[in-house]
Amino acid sequence: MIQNNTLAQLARRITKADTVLRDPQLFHPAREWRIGLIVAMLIFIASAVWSMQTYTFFRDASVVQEVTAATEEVTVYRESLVEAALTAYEERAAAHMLLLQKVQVTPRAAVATETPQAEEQQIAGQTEDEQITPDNSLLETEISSTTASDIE
Amino acid sequence: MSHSTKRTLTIAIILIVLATSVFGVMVYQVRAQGERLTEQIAILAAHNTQKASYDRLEQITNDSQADRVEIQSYFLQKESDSIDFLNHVESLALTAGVALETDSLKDIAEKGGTKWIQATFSFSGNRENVENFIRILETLPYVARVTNIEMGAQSSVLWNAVVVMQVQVLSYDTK
Repeated sequence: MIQNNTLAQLARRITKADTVLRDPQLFHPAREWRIGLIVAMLIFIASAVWSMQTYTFFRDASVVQEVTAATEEVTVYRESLVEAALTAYEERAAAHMLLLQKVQVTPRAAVATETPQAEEQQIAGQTEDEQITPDNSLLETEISSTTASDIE
Repeated sequence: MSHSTKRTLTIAIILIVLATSVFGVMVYQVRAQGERLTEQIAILAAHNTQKASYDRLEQITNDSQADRVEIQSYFLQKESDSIDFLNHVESLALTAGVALETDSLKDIAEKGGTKWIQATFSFSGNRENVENFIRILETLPYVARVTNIEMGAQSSVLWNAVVVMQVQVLSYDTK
């Protein structure tokens, strides 16, 4: 049978239980050492991973040419247009030289020997001060509109 | 807590603080140097881009030197070169056997900024020579255009013509 003293002792033990140092609250050097080692290892591993990432990032960093506004404004040399212009003007210069040779070769005396009657007949077929449309066959080429700005 | 425990704890705390400080400084330095490296890489990339652009432009300039000189020869380099142009036309007139007079010479500026020298020539001779000289003017190896031609007979053997032509003065696009 439980006596009053026994109950009192049991209650006292329960109420005073918090004041007693329990096992987890005591120093255990081996346990603390293991916890310390684990924390140190975690820090070491985290540092190693971070260092590796940083190293890899900067190792793979390369000088990449970026397309900036400055590069977009680079002057374009339209070589085909220049070649077309040169060809057109070389042909024009050749035609010019041919005309000059023709003029130099043609004996002017032969022109002068045309009879006045023949000249008058030719004149009669035309009006005085006739308007002649310029021969723009050479002028209306696309090349004739080439400006210096297309070259530079 | 015993005295030795307190001493060990103090030493441990000091070591931890020291190690943490060193680690923090190291991390800070790595990050700072990394940012500096990134900035320098960006600067180097921009510099390389500009250099590549300059090299390409220089190569184009060198490769196109002859073509550009030839193209330039078809323009009047400056307005004062119109005198040489007139002398050239006069020499051609002598060759073609016509008597040439320069009636007017003036500058014309178009909306786009293109400058032209407009010259009005009147010349006379026999019909064939006048016609030939008109063709010569039309085929002059210049960036030129004949804007008007008037031709008529003054007598049975003497023909007269008035030709208005424009020659472009070299100009560069400033864009």
